Amino acid sequence: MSSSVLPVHPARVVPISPGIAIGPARIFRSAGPAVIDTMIPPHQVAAEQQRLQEAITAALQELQELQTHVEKTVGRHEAAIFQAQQLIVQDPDFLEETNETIATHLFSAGAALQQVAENQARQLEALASELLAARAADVRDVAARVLRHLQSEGHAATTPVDQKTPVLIVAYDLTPSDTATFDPAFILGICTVVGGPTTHAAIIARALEIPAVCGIDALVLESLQDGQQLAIDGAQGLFYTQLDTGQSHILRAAMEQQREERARRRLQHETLWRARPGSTADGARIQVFANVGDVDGARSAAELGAEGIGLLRTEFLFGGRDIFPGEQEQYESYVALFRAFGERASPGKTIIARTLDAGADKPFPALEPLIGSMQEANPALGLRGARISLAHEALLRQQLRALLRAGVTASIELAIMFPMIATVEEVRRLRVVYDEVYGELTQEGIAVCAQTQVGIMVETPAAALMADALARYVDFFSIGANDLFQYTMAADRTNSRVTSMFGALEPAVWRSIDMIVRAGAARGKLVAVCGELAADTRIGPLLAGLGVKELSMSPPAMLKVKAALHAQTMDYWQQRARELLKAETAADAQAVLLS
Amino acid sequence: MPVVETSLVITNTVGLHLRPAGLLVQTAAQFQSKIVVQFGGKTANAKSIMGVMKLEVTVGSTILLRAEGEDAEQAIAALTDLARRNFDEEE
Repeated sequence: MSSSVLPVHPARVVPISPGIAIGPARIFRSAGPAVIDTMIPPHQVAAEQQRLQEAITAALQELQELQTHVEKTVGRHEAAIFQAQQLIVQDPDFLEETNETIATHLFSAGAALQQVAENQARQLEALASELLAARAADVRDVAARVLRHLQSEGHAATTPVDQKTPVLIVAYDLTPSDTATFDPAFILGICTVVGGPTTHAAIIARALEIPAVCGIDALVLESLQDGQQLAIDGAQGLFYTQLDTGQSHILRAAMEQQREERARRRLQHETLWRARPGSTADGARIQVFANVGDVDGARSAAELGAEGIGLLRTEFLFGGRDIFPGEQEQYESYVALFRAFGERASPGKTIIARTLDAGADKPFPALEPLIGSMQEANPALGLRGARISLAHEALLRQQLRALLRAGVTASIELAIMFPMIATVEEVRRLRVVYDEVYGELTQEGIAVCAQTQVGIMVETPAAALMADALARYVDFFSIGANDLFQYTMAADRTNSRVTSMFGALEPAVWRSIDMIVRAGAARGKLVAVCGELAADTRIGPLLAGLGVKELSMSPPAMLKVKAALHAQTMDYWQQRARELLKAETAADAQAVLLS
Repeated sequence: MPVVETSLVITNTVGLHLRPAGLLVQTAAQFQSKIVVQFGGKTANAKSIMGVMKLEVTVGSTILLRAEGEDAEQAIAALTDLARRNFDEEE
């Protein structure tokens, strides 16, 4: 070790998130907008108030999206932070006070908001409870978000961190929003002047396993340069601005070791759940399948350990083209996709293909010459799914032939499923077409498996109410939870103005699912669920508790759902699912999910 | 306009900080009535998250809820129920 200089001591700072980080500094300036200090003429008050309302609505929508993003990338617990921020941005007193400030002081919306938010944040900071005081950061984060929407276009939404080379972020302060957008692969560590272990930014850093400290000297921050070597010890609260070669060597080795350990832990965890079929703690089998929409998806589903494809969206063939593919072309595409899955999937090779599920809300230009214009006043309630197949039987025959032939060629276990069913007649007619196609193929010497399962999506309240009758005509039900929600609640699930009025789990939808499962079970028919509910780690296991035997979801969710399912016994999930049936409100349901 | 009042003891482990306060605000927001929470000589709009947090309601303290409006009774019933469930806190 060189000894010509005095030993360099790191500064003692506040530990926030454990771990060692060493690397080049990146000075980060939060996307907080510049101070706006504008007065307005009296006749502009109403317009400013309107602008404020619009900015709040836009910020609310962003926060909802951020919540979903964080739920996927970090976790549900951390995502709740942005749910809380939604409450702040919707706070009626806050809005009223800001509107008043605009009217009485003739401040612009931005200036008024900044003043009111800062005032509120200071009041929170003055509270004795440290936990509540830490919420001041959330108020400022929310205000900055609304302000960005108030500012004229041309202002960048965020200060982009060049996430190409791994860096240590150094900032005066970081908002939860900033932290949630950091990619842990490129952010080695975080050091801030202000903050504390109970801030939401800190919680997110810990969840992302990014080492972090706060309490660095503001003067030191000023003196730092981009690219300068820094190091932190997030467990002990040490901040190194100068490193001798010895320290540097030791810290680098420690960081490397920690990275390897994390990678090993993650790999172990993933390998374990990937190879293991879905089951509860006491070994009750629940199949965990993937929703797939193209060849790449099929490949990655198999690699992530899908036990089957529970929903193959065949629309992948028809989108973005002008001419509708004929039988042979469809056949070749299906073979390629089936093989992409079948050759990699180890445990099961079941693929449930849903026939064309088009509609005016999912238009396909190639379809229009065949079935006429797809313009409809009310697409969700229009000619869609199996209704198109019945109105244009030739299309259905062509698709069924292509699918069944491909299933034989790729030797996978194929099942066929019809979407958007509302009546028994529809199913009877679809089965007639299916039986005719099956007969034709057999005559042509194509050995379609006689046990090919034929099922339906249950996604309309009509199908749910008729499930006991429908069960006689099908081999399985697959509940399309997203559409079932939309049609049961009469609420467009892409319209945040109405969806925000409902809970993630509405008792009406839960009861409907229960009814469908019982109707299926009474006739010994398998009931599956595809859609967001199945991918929810708290709801998926409860669906199993109701009697659902197969959960189908986007591939990345499978490992988490398997792990969640395995955490308790079937008895436990059954009991919880029954508790949920007693819920009268979405809040009751939420309470059961949280308990 | 019906006015309904009740007092509630907050027994969950942390008092009314962000999560339980959020549940209270979300529940209150479902009703048309004007609803206020009183504690420690301060009054807050029950539909305002910042207002409720600033009351700094601690464990074991008693808050007064007052609702005024057509659905005042249902509002108070729902809020009472929420407090009885300990704001859905785990045991």
